[in-house]
Amino acid sequence: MNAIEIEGVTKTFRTTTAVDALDLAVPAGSLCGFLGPNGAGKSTTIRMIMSIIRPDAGRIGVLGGDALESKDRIGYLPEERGVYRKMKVGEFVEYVARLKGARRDDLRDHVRGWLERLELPDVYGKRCQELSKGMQQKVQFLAAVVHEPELLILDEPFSGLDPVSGALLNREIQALRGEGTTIIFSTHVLHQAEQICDRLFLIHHGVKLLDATLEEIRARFDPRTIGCEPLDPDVDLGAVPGVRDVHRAPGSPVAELALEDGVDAQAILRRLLELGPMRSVELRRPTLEEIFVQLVERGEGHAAAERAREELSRT
Amino acid sequence: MSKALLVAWREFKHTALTKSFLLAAVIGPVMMFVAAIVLPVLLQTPPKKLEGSLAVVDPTGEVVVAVRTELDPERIAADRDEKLVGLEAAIAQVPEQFRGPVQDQIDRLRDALVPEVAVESVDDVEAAKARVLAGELIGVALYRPAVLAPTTETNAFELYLPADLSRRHADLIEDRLARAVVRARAQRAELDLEKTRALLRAPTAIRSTVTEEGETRENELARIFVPFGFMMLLWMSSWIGGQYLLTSTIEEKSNRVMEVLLSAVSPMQLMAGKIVGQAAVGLVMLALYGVLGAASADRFGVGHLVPLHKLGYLAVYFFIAYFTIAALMAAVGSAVNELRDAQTFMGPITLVFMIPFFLWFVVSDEPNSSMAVALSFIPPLTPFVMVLRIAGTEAIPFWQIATTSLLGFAMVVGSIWACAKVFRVGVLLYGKPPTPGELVRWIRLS
Repeated sequence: MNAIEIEGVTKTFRTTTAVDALDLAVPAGSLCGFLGPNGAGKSTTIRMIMSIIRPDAGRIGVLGGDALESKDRIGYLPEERGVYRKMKVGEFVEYVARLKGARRDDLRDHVRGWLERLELPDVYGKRCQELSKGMQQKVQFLAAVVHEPELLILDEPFSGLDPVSGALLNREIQALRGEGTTIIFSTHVLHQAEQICDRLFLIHHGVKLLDATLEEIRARFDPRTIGCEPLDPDVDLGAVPGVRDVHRAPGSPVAELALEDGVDAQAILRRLLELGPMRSVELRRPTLEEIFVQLVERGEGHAAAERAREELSRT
Repeated sequence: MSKALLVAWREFKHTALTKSFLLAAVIGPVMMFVAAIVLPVLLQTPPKKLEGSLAVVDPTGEVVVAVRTELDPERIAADRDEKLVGLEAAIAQVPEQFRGPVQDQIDRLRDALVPEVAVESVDDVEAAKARVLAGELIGVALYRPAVLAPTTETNAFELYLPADLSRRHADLIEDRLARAVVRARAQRAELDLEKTRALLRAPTAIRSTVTEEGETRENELARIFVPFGFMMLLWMSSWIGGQYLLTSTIEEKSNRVMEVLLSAVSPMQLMAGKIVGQAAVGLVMLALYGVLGAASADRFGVGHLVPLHKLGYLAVYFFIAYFTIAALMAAVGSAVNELRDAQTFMGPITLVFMIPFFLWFVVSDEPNSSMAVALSFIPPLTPFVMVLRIAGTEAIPFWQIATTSLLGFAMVVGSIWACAKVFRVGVLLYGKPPTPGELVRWIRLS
């Protein structure tokens, strides 16, 4: 069963198409990464899933129903963090929980328990403005999960967190996932997603580039680059069949060999070793960033790929 | 509890149940009320008796005789009694509920202690002034002979008093010394002073207005100021509630709490909850100021002038005024990110809602003039102008109350409809605040 089903969804703001004919299915119980550079359309998609804004065309099904009906079963940590500055932490969390339909009588104890769990003891009665930014972020995370949602949407949950808090949050995310919560994790920091997600969804300029599990991605994007450093710098690496291009950065003894499509990388490794002694030979596993750039290049050409690479490095 | 009510409760709690609100909205008027109760009591405590010697410089020797007569304790007591008889006769003609302030005046007069002042005739003003400074005299009066046959320029005398003399005593001395001049003049002209005074006393008119319900006593206070009080009450409660709505919406936006809220409630639920919550704040203010106003009016003996049976209308027009203002404030608050940006839109809105203050006197003076009737049908002014007209003493045709209420409700529906559209788009929009033209475009969006 799918927690989220998006079919042909389009959303246009004046002249910009933020999301363009998007199809997507998020299986229940998965931890799915929503990836793409800033402005790719991630937040717009999430807002549409949350029924905060409505799509111009297409259909969105959430938890087997309409997004509006399911609002109370969804937890949401928006990218833009916010708390009522003057409100007390406990009151704020309980208020959001009640707005989300939490009916439990022990809500207060439940909130206190969660605050302990997030290593925020003694803040229950403090005003939100008295907390540090990182603490406020944890309070916001709590506000997103306190009503025990079936679907949890986290928009850039780690931005601005110190490594210790980040690890704590990661642990809690994994724990929720263990309890069966479907989690969508949106980020522009692609390697973060690589570490915790089991399914990835890549979006660029409102168009889906990739939608697959991590294993599928690893299998599909097998290494296309070999780095090697021969003892004899003059050996002709380009002569090996299957090598498309040899690139040596100025001053570097390491040569980067680009492989032709469809050739067996292992066979080329063996051939290279036959050429002569090597200081090092290495299959380069592509990072998500590289896969992303590659996908953009395939779809929109070299110039677009360069722009995408820039967008990623900038953010 | 429904979600909108949850929002409303939070809105109310965090506006009305805060220290700053209590300070600003409650303590101010409470203090005023306390002052209104306590000050008259303080003023009523009888002043201490006036005793001492007064020096008179009078070359004619005629005025000083009159001064002695005027400052004779028996004379003073007799004048007081005469005044009391007059006041009591006047008050008897007035219905019970009108008597409050006059009765106070009578009581004060009756309780006042009769002064005992000895009069000395002296020649040297400067020496007498020195004795005033030394505390031996309670004053020196200098009468020049011309005062007995006065022209406009010479109709005056000089009076030198010590710094520590109370105002009330100074007034009393001045009054008696002035009367002494008149007495001396009458003496010289061989007139019977008492008879002449009685002849010259102008009678007071007891005005009544003939209406279908019978004769009513006309009162300037009821005609002009009570409507103003009603309108002020309406304006304050609706406008201040609206202001809170504006700032809390902007706060939610700039704090970015908005998105968390919108993940739980729809923009319509949020807007409805906020408006209802602040309506409760407005009603608290209305009740508070209303009760305080009525109580103060009662305290000052003009309680009967506050037409309590008209409070129902006030509630209807509060509903119209508040919900119109609230919808506008929610829309403006949702469209901008900072209070500063809101000023662009608030300028014109404030101006429109200030118009009733300029119209107050004209409308209250003639509540059934064609202009007043016409103004009642200009939507943003309707509730204020109608309250001005209804709270006055003239009867307003019921068809006008009915049609303006309907018009008002139409205005409420229309402004909530338009502002909800702006709100829905505005709440999630960050960055440059929209221009008025863009707002209109949002309203046109389906």
